[in-house]
Amino acid sequence: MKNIKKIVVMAAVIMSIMSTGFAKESHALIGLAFKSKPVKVIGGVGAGLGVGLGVYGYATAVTTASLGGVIVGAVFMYYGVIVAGVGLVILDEKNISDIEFKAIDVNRPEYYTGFSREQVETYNNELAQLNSIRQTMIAESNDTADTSDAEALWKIYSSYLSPATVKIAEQNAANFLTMIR
Amino acid sequence: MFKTLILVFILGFSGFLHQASAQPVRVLISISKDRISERFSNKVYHKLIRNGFSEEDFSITQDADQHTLYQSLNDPQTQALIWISHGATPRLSRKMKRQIANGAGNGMSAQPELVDYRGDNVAPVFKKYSKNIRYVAVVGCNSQEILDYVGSGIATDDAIEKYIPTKKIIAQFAIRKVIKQLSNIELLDSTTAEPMEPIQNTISITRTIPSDADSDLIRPLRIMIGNELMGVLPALQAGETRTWQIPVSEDKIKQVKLETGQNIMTDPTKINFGDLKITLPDQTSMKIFSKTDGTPFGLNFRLFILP
Repeated sequence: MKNIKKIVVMAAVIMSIMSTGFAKESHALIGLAFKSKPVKVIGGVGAGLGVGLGVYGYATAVTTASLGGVIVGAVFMYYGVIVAGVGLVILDEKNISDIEFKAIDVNRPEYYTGFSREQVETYNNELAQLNSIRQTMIAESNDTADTSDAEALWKIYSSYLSPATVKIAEQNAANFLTMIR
Repeated sequence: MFKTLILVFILGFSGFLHQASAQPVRVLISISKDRISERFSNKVYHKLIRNGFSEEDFSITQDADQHTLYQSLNDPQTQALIWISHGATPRLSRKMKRQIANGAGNGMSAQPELVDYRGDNVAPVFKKYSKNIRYVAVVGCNSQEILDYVGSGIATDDAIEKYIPTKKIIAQFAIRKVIKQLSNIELLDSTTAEPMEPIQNTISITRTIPSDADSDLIRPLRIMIGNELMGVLPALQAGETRTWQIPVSEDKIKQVKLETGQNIMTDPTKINFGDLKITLPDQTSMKIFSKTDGTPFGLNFRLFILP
C-alpha cells in the first residue's frame, strides 16, 4: 500500500511538472509546421487580411498572402501517454497531423454561404481528389518560408478540379485561417 | 522478371483468414520502442495468467500493423481485443474548440491518429469488426476522440464492453484496468462465423511489388470506398504479385482509395505502393488520379477513379 501511495504521489508530481512545462505551449495550440520546421506560414485571401497567425511559440511571421500556404498547412499534435523507462514517466512526443478537407453537410446551408447545393455536392464528390492534390503539394513544396512555391503548385494542380471545388476549397482554407488567428 | 505468384483470394466478410487463430482474446501491441513493447507483452501475459486465463485463451502480438488489426477485429473467433499504441490528437485552444462546436472551420480539420509501431495511422480499421466481439480496449490516449473522428461505431456499440479513454492515460494503469474488466466478461466456448451474404459483385485488385523493392517499405493497404472500409490487403514481399476479389455491395463504384496510413510528413521515397490495378464488376479498369505525365497524386493513398 505504501509503495502504491509513493507511486501515485510521484506520478502526480511528474504530471504537474509536465503540465506546467506545457502550459506555455498550451496557448500555441495550433502550430503550422511544414516538413518538421515551423515555417511556411500562411496568409489569407488577398493581401488585405494581413499577416500573422496569432500562433504563439512558433517562429516565422507571415509576410505573404498565400492560399497555397494554407492548403499545405499541417498541425502539431501530441502523442498520448505511453509509459517508458523506470517508473511512471510520461512521454509526450510531437508529431505532425494532416489538415484535411472534409465534406460539407449539404443539409446545413449556413455552412456554405455563397455557394449552391449543387456546387457543394460537386466539392464533396471531389474531396478525395482535392486531398490527394493537397498531399502532393506538401511533398513538392520547399522548406523556405516563402509560400510562392505553394501558390504556384495550387495554380497548376487546381486545374484538375472542378471550378466549384476550387472555390469552396479556397473559401474553406481562408475560413480556417481566420479561425486559428 | 518478377517472381510471379498470382493467387486469387476471396475476401468475404468473415472466415477469409488463412491463419485464423482460435484464441478468443487477442492482444495487439504496437509501440515503436522495442524495450517497452516487450515489457508490456510480459506484463499483459502475466496479468492474464494471474487472472485465470490459460495460454490457450489468448494470443499476444507485438509490432501489429493495420492488417493484423483488421484480421483480429474480423476473425469470428475473436471475442475480446486489446490494442495498445500511441494515440495522437491535435492540441486545440478552448477558443478553437468553441468555434468548431459552433460550426466554424467547417470543411477543414486536423486529423487525429492512432499510430502503430511505425507511426502509421490505423484508426479507420476500427470501422469494421465481427459481431462476435464482446470486449474491446483501445489503450492509447484520447482514443475515443480518434475513433469518433473516423466514424467507428465500436466506441458506441452497446453490445460491446469497452475501455476507450477520453483523455491521456498512463499505460500501466490502463492495462491493469483492462485485464480486470476483461476478467468479468463471459467468453463463449465457441463462436460461429456470420453467414456470408451471397456475393453479388466483386472488384479485383492486383498488386505487384518490383523485385528490387525494399520490402521494409511495403505496407498493408486498406481499401476505402467512400467512407466505408472494405478490407485490408497484407503487405507483400519484393517480387510478389497477388490479386484479390473484394465483395462490394454497389455495382456503381466511382472511386476507390488504397491507403497506407503513413504520416503526411513521410519522405515520399519511403512510400511504395508497387503497381496497382483495379477492375470493376463490369470489367472496367479504373485509372489512378494522376498528373498528365502519369505521376499519381497523393502521398499516403492512391485514388482510383473511373476512366
